Amino acid sequence: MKCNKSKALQPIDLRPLALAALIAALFWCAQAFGATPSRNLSENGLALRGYDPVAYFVVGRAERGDAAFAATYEGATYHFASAARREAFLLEPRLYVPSYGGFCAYGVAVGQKFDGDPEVFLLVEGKLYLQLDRATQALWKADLDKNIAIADRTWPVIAKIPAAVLND
Amino acid sequence: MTNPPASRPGHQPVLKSISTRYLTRFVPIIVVVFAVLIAIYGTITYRESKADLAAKLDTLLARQSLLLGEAVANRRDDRIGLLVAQTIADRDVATIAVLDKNGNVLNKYGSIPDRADALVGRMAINHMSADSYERVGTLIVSMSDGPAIASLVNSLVYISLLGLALIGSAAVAAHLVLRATVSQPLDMMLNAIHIQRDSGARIPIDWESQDQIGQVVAAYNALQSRQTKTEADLTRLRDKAERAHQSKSDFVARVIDEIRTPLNSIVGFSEIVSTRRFGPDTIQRYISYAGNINQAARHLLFLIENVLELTRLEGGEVEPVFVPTPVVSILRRAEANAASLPRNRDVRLRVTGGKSDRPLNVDEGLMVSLLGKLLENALRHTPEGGKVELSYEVRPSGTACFTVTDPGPGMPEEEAQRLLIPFAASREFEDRGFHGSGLGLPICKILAELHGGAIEITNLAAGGFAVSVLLPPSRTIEIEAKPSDASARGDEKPRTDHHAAGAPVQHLNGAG
Repeated sequence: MKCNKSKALQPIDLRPLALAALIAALFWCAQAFGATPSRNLSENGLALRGYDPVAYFVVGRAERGDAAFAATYEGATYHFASAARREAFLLEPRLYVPSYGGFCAYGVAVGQKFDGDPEVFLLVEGKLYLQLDRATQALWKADLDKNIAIADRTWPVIAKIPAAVLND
Repeated sequence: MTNPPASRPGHQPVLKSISTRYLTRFVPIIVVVFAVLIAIYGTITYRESKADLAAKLDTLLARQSLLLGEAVANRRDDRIGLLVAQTIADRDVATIAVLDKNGNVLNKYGSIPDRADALVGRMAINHMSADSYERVGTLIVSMSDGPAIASLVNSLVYISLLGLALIGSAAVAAHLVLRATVSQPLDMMLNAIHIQRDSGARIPIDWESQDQIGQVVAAYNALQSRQTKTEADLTRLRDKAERAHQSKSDFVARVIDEIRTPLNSIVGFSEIVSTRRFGPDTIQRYISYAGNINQAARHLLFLIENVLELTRLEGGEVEPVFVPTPVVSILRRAEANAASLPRNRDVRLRVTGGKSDRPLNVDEGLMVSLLGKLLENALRHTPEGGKVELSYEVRPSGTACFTVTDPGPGMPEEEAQRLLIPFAASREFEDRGFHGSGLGLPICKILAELHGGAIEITNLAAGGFAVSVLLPPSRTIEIEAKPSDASARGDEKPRTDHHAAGAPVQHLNGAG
């Protein structure tokens, strides 16, 4: 996904120097923080596109985090809506991080890594699952238990494989 | 306030209005800036829409590949067709193709595009079996940026039109505001200045504002009223001074006239008595007293005439008429006049120079009377058998110079200079100062200054006394010039002559 995006930007590169420098910095960040293919991160190593992972569990809906309350866990940066949520996250991060590294849960079930939309989520037995979009989520929900079981088995296999390799 | 419609380049009309000049600079700059901004905005928006398309393609590929998984695995062509139709409904999607795992086309819309294009995406179609997943086919989708570009161009056109309308209204507004705040008062001021220049009338400008223009107008008004007041004061003072001077001159002339008439009878009758014109008389002492009266009265008459002449000269009543005159003629007339002057026995007058010199542009009558005064003084003070000399020379500097030399007793230099001031010489030397009137040399000085010249007094080393009349080089006339021309020039430019006279005058002061 990341690679595809950057490919799309590359061909016409007439941006001013500052912008080029910024992109270079973003790439560097991506390398430094989350080059691991097992997490769905933005180019700057941000997980959940900056959404607050705790909000899903506390208020039951997607909420944007604030860069002022950030925490890093396993190479991924998370933003939180408040300092209290950040504290809660840091106490037990494993409870809050999304399943399958934040990739689309249905995609993982069929052996692919698609970007999980933080707005399209489902909490199942205390675990956070993201989906590509609502169409996919409808498909996934239709056979929830089976899909989760298959995805749980598939994930360890594809976790280390870059998305581009899987998708092609 | 003429404001020609926006100037066309190449025509170069004269732009007299501030607001037009301002707008001809302002509008192009704003248009260029606006065009640059539009270009930047367009570029950024184009990039963004491309990136958006790429992101949309990614999502579309992912979703459709997931949705297609089961249909492709089970070869349900109706479902594949439905999904392809659903995908192609999006206007951004150009082509779509669904291939099975062997590369055979199951369904497609449009041709299968090259991989190289940025807006072409391929995605594996996977299907989950009972315990794992397997790849069942490939999805190829290409996007078209045509609609995106079309809408971008549309919005750019709208923005440009809006911007141009904004610039146009801003220009009109700026023109109106400039006219109301700057051009109008400036025009009023310019008008007032023109009127003042043409007719001299000072018109106050009716403009009330607190900005710089208002302050300038207020300052201009203040300046004009002060100027008007100053001019009125000056005129009043000049009139007053003229009246005072006139009444003084009138008074002096009147008094002198009144004095002269009885004096003339005193002179006449005392002369008759002392010369015993009506026959011999006996008492010698009366006769000698009458002689004394006659002598004193003559001196008084001489003094009064000098005062009168000085008054006339100082009052500017004498207007010299400059005519080219041969030097010899001046010297001859001065010599002839000197023949009748009183002198001691055997005193001789010698006149030298001037024969081959250039003519001088002077008033002959005044020059002759000037030299006459000098000669009279010299002859009077030359002892018996002495020799008075009147000479003319042109100095190397070009200064024309009449000199009267007599062998009489000299005097200190500073005292000599005081002789040039009326009644300033001390009594000790007064007798030297022209018959005791104390006015002869001052009159000579004024006469010389009328010609732009000066008087120089020197004690001769060999004993004796020399008085020189210095005339500036501009008084000497070029030989090749015709006399008539020269006279015209002389009459036209007496002022320049006076200016040129500065040098000899200063030379005199320096010598003193």
